[in-house]
Parts: sequence; structure tokens; C-alpha cells
Amino acid sequence: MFFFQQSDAQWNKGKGNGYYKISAWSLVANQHYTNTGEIDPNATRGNFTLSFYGEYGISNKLDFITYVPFLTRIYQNAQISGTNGNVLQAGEAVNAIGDIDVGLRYGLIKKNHFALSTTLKLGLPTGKNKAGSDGSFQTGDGEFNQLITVDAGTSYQLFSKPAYAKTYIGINNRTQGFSDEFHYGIESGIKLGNKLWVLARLNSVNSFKNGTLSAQNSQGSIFANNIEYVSVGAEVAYYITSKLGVSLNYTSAVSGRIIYAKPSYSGGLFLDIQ
Amino acid sequence: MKLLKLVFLLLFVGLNSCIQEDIVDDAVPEELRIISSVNTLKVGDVVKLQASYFNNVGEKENKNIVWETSNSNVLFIDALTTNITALAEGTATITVKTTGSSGELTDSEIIMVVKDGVVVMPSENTKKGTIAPTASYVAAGDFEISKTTNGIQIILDDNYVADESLPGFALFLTNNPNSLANALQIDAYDDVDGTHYKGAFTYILDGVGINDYQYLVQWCRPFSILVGKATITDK
Repeated sequence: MFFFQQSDAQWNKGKGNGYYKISAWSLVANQHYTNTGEIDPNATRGNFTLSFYGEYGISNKLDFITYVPFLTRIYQNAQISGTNGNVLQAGEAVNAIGDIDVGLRYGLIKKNHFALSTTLKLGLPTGKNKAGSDGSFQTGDGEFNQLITVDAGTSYQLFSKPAYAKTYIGINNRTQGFSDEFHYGIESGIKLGNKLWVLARLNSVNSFKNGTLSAQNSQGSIFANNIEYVSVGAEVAYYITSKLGVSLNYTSAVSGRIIYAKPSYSGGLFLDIQ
Repeated sequence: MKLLKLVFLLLFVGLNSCIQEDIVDDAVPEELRIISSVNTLKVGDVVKLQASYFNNVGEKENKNIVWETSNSNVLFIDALTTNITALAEGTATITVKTTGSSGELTDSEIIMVVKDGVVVMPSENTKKGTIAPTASYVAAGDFEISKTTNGIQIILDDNYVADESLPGFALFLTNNPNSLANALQIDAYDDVDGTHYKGAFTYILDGVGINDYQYLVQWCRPFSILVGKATITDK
């Protein structure tokens, strides 16, 4: 709960091509957006995730996509009395695998500089939805969800440099009483020089608030239903070679409900085979 | 091979992501409080009153406490045992004193002494409070606390509300609203019988004195967020 990670859709890779990335992602937050969108303080919590993201072109129109958070570390700072230095609440951490995504992207239209595709992404409940001394150090939500999106993108020249823009909308069907969600996002990037891409993106998740999961029927579980946010982020990707590169990302929720109100940072090493 | 080294390096960094320290401002005023709830005695009664000292984090601590009476002809205090004897009809104020780190602390209680044979209606000695929000979450409601045979009962009014969107709601009695270190949990999201969020409800608490705690507080326990607070006062 209280965090988000977003892997964005790309154009179809083409048969045999692929994009693979090992990332480290970190979010440390001592405040959060409440259910009314206000920002309130909380004990400092951290989420550090090591993940693998991969896209592989099964055919020219069909890609296999996966996101594997193979190590997710959720931790909370020790709460120390400012008056006498006593430990009010010991610090705690849980290390576990997170929820794995697998999916397929199918190219619908590819014409000149325009591409339209649809993606089905399945969120597998491989993480722990109850962990730590009070059950709140979850690395997954415990539900199987299906996110279907329609993705559109175009490439063009901006200031005589290669650039692109893309957008998507999607519906996320969630189970186990969680509310379904409407997703949308936009992204734009430009290539500077021969090796550097700079891009910016905006993502949003909006709850339909149609889930049955509530504090009254959660049977003691900590859950975060009806999460909503609008996040903005920037990323730079530098190609060390024609295939191998590194990327750095900064993302922050600019508004939200039941989500941390601090930025996340990530760095990754990617292999772009095309 | 280089990629493998990178993965191991990231794993090492991840597994050692630091648990650091949050410093909590948990200071509260020191307090000396008469715990016994005695308002009326009959001539000849001997009682031992109790008072507790709570330090600047609301934790009970042993202290030398001095007992005084405003009228030793009505109420006599044995300096050795601190027993109080009702000697004659009338009214006297019992005062307790101690020295805290911030200076002298006192508390007092007025006790009426009636002649033997008079039927004394037991004092209700009821407490009350109103929960007010301390964060952006919904927290509201009136309540009363009264003595039972074995402890106390907290009676929540119809207007009581706790925010159902809170991940990990819990209700506590405490002497320090800024910390759960010495708080008594009376309801929580992970209780076997569930949690009460809205409307009238009564909690029965055995072994708890009516003057043992000064606040009733609502917390989001896992994330250490104080969301509602009520000061318990005499009704």
C-alpha cells in the first residue's frame, strides 16, 4: 500500500527484439495523502525494490512483457522519544518478492510515424499481503488484477531532434474486493545528441470506488483500497553503447489519496536490442 | 559477469536500506494525580488514598508524595501509613504534593464526612470527553466513563466516528497523546472481534481505574498517526 511503480508501454519491439532492464527503486516517506487528499505526517517508511523489466517481441505485432520485483524491502524507522531517548517503537523491515506483472502487447496499427497497440497486463499476487509484526509491511496486495490499456504513440522531429509522444488509457479490473481503476498517462521524450534521451511523463490512477473491501470486513488486514494519484516524473536514459545504457528516474505524486506524498527515485541498467 | 556483480551490489544495497530513527515530540506536562475516587466518608471510616506521579512522557514513576488535609479535625492523615481517618462531620480538602523536574506538583480532592448511619449515595464520579480530529481523517464523538464493579466502562455516544479509511485503526487510553509507549489499547483493527467505527458502543474494561488515564485517543497504529484526541474530564 501507499506506493506506486509504473512501467510504461512502448511500441511493439519487433520479432526477436527486446528491452530488458534491471532497476533499483526507492521511496522514503514521512507524509502521505489522506483519503481526502490532504497531506498528513506518518512514521517514516521506506520501500526499496530491485526489479527486472522485460519486453520481448514474439512476433512483429506481439510482445511479451514482464515486471519482476524480485526483492522488495519495506521498512519503518524506529520511533524514538525526543524527551528521554527511549525507543517508543522499534524499527522493522521485511524483505520479500513483490507482485509480478506479466502481459502481452498487440500492435493494432503501425503507419508512418503513428502506432496504436493494446496491452493486457496481469498482476499476480506473488508478494506478501500481510507481513511484519502488524501485517502492514506488505510487498503485494494479495489480489489478481487485469489491466487492459490502449496505447498510442507518434514520433516526430523537435528542434531537428528525434522525439516522440505517447499516451494510454486503461481499465484495471481488481479482485478480492478492491475497487476497479481507470488509468491514463502521457509521455514525451527527445533525443539529445546521439546517446541521451530525456523524457517526462504523467500517470494517473483513478478508483471507481466500487470495491467491497472495507475496514469493517478486512478481517484484520491492512489494505489500501481506492488509491488514487496523479504523478509526474522525469527520466534520462544514456546509451553507453548502441544497446547498453543506464537510466535515472524521478517521480512524485502531485495529488493523491491513500498514497505516500514523497518522490521516488530509481536507477537502472538496460539492454535495448533492436 | 559484470551484470551479475551489479545485481549482487544492488541486492546488498537493498537488504541494507537503512532503518533510521524518527524523533517523536512526546513531551507532556508532569502531573501528580489522586487516583482514588472518594468523595464522601462516614465518621470512623479509614481509607488509604492513592496518588500517582506521571513524568514528562506520561509514564507512571515512583515519587515521595506528601499528603495534607485542610482540616485535621475532620480528616486526619497518618503520616506514616498515609491512611486517612474521618474524625468528624464536615468537609476537608486533601492535597497531595511532590517535586517534579519542573517544580512542585499538587492535586487535591474535597471530601465530605457525614455522621455514621447516614445513607450515603455512592458518587457517580463520571468522566466525559469529546473526540476531536488531530489530522485530516474523520474523528469525532462524545463519550462517558463510569466505574463498574471491577473497573470502568467507556460509553460512546451515537455521534462517535472513527475513519474507516484508516489503515490500522486503534483506540487507546493514555496519559500521553503523542506516544503509545504506556497506552492501553482498548480496540484495534486486528482484534479477533473486529473494531467499532461508528455510533454508540460500550467498552467494559476490568482492572482499570477511572482516574488512571487522561486521554482517549484514536490512532492509525502501524503508521504512528494520531488522528483523534479527547481529554477526559469530570462530568
